[in-house]
Amino acid sequence: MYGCATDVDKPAMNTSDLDTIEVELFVQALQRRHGYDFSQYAPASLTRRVQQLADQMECKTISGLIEHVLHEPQLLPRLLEGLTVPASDMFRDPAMFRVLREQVLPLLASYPQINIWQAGCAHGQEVYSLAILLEEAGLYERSQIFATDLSERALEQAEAGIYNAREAQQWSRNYQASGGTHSLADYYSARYNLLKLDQRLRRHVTFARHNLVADGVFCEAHLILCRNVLIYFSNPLQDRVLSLFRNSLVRGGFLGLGMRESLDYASAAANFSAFAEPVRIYRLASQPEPALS
Amino acid sequence: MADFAHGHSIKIHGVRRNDEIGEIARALQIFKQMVIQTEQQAQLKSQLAAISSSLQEATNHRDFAERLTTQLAPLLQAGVALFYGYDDARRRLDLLGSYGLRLSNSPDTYVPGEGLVGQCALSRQPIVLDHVPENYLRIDSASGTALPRHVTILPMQLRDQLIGILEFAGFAPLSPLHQQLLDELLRMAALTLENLNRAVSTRDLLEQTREQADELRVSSVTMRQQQQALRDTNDTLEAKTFELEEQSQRLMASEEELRVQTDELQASNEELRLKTDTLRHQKQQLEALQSETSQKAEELARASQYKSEFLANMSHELRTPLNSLLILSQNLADNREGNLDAEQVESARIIHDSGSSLLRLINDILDLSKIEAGKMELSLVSYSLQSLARSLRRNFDHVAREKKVHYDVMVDDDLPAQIHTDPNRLEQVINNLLANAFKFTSRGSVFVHISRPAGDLPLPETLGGQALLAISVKDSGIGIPAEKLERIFNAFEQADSGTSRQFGGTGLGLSISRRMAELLGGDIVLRSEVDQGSEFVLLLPERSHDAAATIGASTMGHVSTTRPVVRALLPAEGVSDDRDRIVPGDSAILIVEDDPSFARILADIVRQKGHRMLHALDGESGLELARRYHPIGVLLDVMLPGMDGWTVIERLKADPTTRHIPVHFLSATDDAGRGRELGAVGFLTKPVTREAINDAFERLLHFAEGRTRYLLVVDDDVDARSAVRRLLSQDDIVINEAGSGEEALQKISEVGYDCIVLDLGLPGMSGLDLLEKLAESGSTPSVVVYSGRELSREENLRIRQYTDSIVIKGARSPERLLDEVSLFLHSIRHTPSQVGSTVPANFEGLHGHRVLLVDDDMRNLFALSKVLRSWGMQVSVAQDGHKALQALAENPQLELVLMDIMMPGMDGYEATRAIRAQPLFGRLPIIALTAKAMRGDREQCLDAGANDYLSKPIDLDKLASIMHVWLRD
Repeated sequence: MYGCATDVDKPAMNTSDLDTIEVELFVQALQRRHGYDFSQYAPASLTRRVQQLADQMECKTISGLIEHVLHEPQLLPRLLEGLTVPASDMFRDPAMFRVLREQVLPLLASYPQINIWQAGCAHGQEVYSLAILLEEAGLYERSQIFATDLSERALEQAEAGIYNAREAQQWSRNYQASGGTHSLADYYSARYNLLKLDQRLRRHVTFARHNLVADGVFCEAHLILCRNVLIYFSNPLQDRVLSLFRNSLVRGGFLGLGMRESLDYASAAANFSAFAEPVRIYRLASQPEPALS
Repeated sequence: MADFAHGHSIKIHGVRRNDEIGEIARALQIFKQMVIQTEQQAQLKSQLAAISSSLQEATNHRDFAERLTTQLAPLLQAGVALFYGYDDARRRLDLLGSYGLRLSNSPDTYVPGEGLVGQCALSRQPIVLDHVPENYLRIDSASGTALPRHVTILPMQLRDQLIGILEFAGFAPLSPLHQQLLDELLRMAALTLENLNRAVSTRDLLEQTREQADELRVSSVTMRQQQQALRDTNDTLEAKTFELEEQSQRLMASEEELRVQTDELQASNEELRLKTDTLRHQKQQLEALQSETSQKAEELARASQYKSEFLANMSHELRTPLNSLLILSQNLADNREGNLDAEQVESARIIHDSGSSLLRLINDILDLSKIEAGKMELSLVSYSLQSLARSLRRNFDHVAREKKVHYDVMVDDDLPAQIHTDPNRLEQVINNLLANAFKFTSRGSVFVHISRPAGDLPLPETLGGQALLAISVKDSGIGIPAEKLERIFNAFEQADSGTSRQFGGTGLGLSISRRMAELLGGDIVLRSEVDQGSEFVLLLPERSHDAAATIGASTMGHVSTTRPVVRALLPAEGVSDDRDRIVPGDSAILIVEDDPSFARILADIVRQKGHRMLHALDGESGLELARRYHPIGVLLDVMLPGMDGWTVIERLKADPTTRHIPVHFLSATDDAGRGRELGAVGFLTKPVTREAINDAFERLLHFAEGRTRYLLVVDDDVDARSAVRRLLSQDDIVINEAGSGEEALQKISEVGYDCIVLDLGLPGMSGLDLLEKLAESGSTPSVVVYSGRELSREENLRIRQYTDSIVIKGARSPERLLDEVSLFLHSIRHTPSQVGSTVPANFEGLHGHRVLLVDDDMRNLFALSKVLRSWGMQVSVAQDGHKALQALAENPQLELVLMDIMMPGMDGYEATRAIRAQPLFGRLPIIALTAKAMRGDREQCLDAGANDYLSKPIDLDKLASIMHVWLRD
């Protein structure tokens, strides 16, 4: 007889296509169940992290993970933590902190009030580093740091300011390399194998949850640090976030990115000029674009 | 009595007597017996008591058995006594204690039924043996051994329970007294033993318990140690795990970062590769096209050369027979012989005329082909302009008279007497132009004017940098429509195909004229209006060079080169502009607008503002005017004849000499976005009001360069003032100084300052007072506060009401001061992006209501409070939750709170809860303003006690309607 096509004849779908479908479904589930939209995250890295989450939660497939997403709302903080990549050091990339210390802060000193937004503060190492910089520049009393992150868990850790004492050596070296004149040990106390940062450093820090994907401008910022966050975003999302930064910054305000990030190809970058390109510090044009009625 | 009892020595005599004595003796005897008995009883009792109390002191079974046997045996005069305790659990009799027994003589244990002891245990009956067998146990003493005569084995029972067996062996049988003693003793001993049992077992239990307790204690200690050890291990493990986890997380993160970077690199690589491919492809295409084009060009050039050579040859061949034809026909027409009639003469003349036309055509073709073939030669000589004028007059006076057209030739005085040129070619060109002019002019005039080029004449770029003459031939003829202007110089073209029929001519004249003009190093430009006339201007260098060869060659190279566009530049009727009146130092504004009446309105405004006005009806001439006169600003329409406004601004921005000129659009189309992209400073959509035009002008002027700016420096310190002056000093800035607030106010009322640099600490009126005064007067100029000290949050807040330019003096502050000041001097401030500027449809109902606005973002705070005030509301502001509570406490009349959520110190949630906690404010409407957009965040606002929420950036329409709703009660 004549052959007729049936479903059985369809070629088996390969794994990566399946992955794509599953990740899309996962993203959709998370979005519709909890309102968090990850659809604009860079797909390759998102897929890896979703896969990782599935492994951690002992799900055989991402579909299995979706069940958790839908039926166990208490897992949300863990999911959010797993989907973001919170890792940093104090004074990570000391050269950048040196530029902040020697070139940016002296300029910011001419503002009566200095607002700094650390977008994606993760576990807070850079927040405390900033506070130390401001303290040493004598500017901390008229400064306000907004430390925001998507993950509630990360914020809790950041607020606690407790880290493994093993880090202290590396951090001290970073601090010195960033031009620090004291000893980093002045700012923490170590006990057992933990070190806790001086809680006085927290006195002008506001920790708050903020979702760069959905939320808007909430402060007038003179400096925004958003390091190693944009690399996980797709280009349209990067543009959204950059315009969010642009609208938050005062004219002449500064933007610091991660060493692997750049404004070179972003269309929203037009208003920014390189201030210290090697350490990825940019400055918003002090002349606003022509206003149009 | 006691003697009776003890003294056995008391002998009673006469017992056997049968007398009274005997009776007495017997009675005495009996009495004695009784006494003895009593005595014995008492003794028994006391012994019993002694044993009993001794037994009660026993602390264990052996002790008990020892005491029992040791004390009982002597009492019973037994040589050996043994006590076996019965172990009910094991059903066994154990020898617990003995008296007078050699240790090896008797087995230590029996089971019931075994031996006599066992038998007794089984039968629970006393066993008494009177004749003990030979090999029975012996009574053993140091002095010897002997077999006992009597053996008594007694069960010890309590409530029918066997508890032990007591055995005696002695030489005498037990007396009744002994029997009695034993009976009582056994009962008592049984009880004691039981008690002892209990005590022992209690003690055992106690001991056991204590042991167990000890054990427990020991094991608990051990356990605790183990636990500690475990905990230690655990801790270590946990720390290790934590470390590992952290390390792995860190590794994962950096791996992630690396991967992402790789992804990106790959992506950009891919993109680059694609781009490179595309570029290569395009390049190939371009190269192919180029070679094709150059091939075509070569072919064309060759063809053109062949054509020219052919034409040259052919013309020559044609001219030869034509020559004779003309001569002969002329002879015939002369009719010298007189043998032809009138009709024949006329025919001959027609033949001659036609031949002449044909000859002219052939000559023209020959000239053209010569030029194109590069064979036209010049003979350059000095030539007087006056003789040129004479020659021109002479050649065309008669034509003018014939056509009754006014004709004149004028030579300006400021010209050289002689020029260096080829007179024949020059005259050929001008004659050609004049012939055309007369041809197309039936009434009016034809003028030739020899002068320097007029200012408004578009000069072809190739003619730059040399002294030029302009020889203008202007007529009042039919004119040339704009769309034909470009083609008029092409060979065989006339404005109208019907033209040649009416006016004759070959259509080659202008083409040849232009080529010849080029040959002479000049050019011809044309301006014309239909029915108004035309003006051809021959631009000629004072010194021509023999450039025939080069021009010829270049002409060969690109035969079909198109000419630059020749434009109609005659001003349209109605709007005449100031181009002729512009002198150095004037500022001009260019209006490019094809609607004359609107252009006139704009022109009036421009002139009122003291600027010169330039006007162009179309884009091309607008561009020309911009290049020539460098206006300080351009008002540009989008819809223009020919080149549209978009293209005009693109060209302006592409040209380095006009790029800086600010352009403001005025258009019936609405595409502000495109205008912005193209670099316009503003976009106004028609129809417009006069005010809007004024605003547009202000904006334009604000961006315009070259205008003088006025700056006031207010500081009580002379040195500080001069430092600022030095810093900001520029050519186009006038800097005034004021030493006090009062002086500043005075100066501000006299001069409209573009910017004021203000120190806060002034004697008398403080800087802040000055700001307030200025604000009250309604016209706040742009102010940069330049403060020598830091400001408190409150001061900052107060100043921010008037300006957001606050510079704190410091090492790097001068450069910021410069930035801020130049911002004011050279650009337009933009409204904060978070607040739109639309006016909501209905805000009347809000008038007079009191609202508290809480936000730490001062841009938002002031932009929003400005809007709310413009709606007639009374606005209080607070920077954070604490300040908000304070404001409410001070001013309980507040009717509504607009509460930002993310604030330092006390955030919006907390502040809202704190307000709600006060009974007074239980029903106070609170609207949360949140930058957060997610569902959960909004619910959180409501949970905290807000009545409603609005997302930032704030939509003013929504804000108005929400406030309407909550202020209704």
